[in-house]
Amino acid sequence: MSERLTILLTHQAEPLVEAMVAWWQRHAPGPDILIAYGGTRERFEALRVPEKVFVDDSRLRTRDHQRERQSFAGVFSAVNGWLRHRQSYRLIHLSEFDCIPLCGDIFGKLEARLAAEDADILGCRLERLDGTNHPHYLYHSADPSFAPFLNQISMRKDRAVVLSMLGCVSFWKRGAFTAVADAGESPPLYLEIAMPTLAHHLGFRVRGLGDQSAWVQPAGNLAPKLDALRAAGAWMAHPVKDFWEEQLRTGARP
Amino acid sequence: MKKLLLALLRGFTAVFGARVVDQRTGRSIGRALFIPWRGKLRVIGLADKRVIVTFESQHRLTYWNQALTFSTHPEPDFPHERKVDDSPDSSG
Repeated sequence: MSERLTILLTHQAEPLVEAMVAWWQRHAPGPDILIAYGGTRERFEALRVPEKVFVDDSRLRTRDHQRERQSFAGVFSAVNGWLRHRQSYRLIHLSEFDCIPLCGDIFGKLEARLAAEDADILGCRLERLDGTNHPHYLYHSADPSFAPFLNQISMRKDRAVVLSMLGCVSFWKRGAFTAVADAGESPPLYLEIAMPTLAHHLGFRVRGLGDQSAWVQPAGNLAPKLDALRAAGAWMAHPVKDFWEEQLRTGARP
Repeated sequence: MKKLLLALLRGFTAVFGARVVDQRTGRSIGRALFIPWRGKLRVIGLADKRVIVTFESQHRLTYWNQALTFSTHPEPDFPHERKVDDSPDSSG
């Protein structure tokens, strides 16, 4: 069994998910792939992929993600349960379906960066938010249970630190991933705040992939520019809209 | 309609807003409008910036005015408080 696990989070229909898994196996070979499925139970049951877990959490299935504080807690919990019987995995690459690798050895690049940074978690667009005007921070700080929660779980001297990173891609040492999964969330936290902030206060070192931020964006569509991004040094691209539909339609290389 | 008004407001801020400088780096953060409103100061134009507002300390004691300043956090670079044992367990 591999030491490397890639988790692909998706809610798409079965043919698209199956095409996505085949594409990842072909274009970024090496790690085992686990589908964390946020679609319907019926579609999940019909999925023909090597490994899959169903994410049974209404807080993943939000419409207004920021105001409803969309959460990956259910994803972490489901994957953590799956990992419990698979002790060999050491490193975890968590990626949303619309974040695609642009190099075959992305896992190796992330692993090397993790080692170079002596970090436990890598994320894109990592920022410190506490005390700032960032709307996500201000929204959380209005919750009277937010600061006491951080105070309760933190092993840091400064228990007010709040971090944020994009949720579309992150890279974890297994111990950090399982600790964050076990920490749970009370009160509800928006995933971009929850992942790095919980990890930080649980004592882990979180570092940003600053040189990749230009190609990992919160919105837009990078699908038409993949060759240019690859030439510019991008390891991955997000978001890529309709990429899997296009793969299914043409079977073409990106 | 709301989108149009917001776009106009953004354009107005970009031209007529006050320049905001990061006191930590000395770099320009952008332009913003500061509007007193019901006992608070509304800030428009810094939505995509992460700024911390503080009163500037005074090297020379002055009673008649104080300055509000803006700064940013450096990139997060905190040390470990615990180490992960990430060696693989062959028993699985």
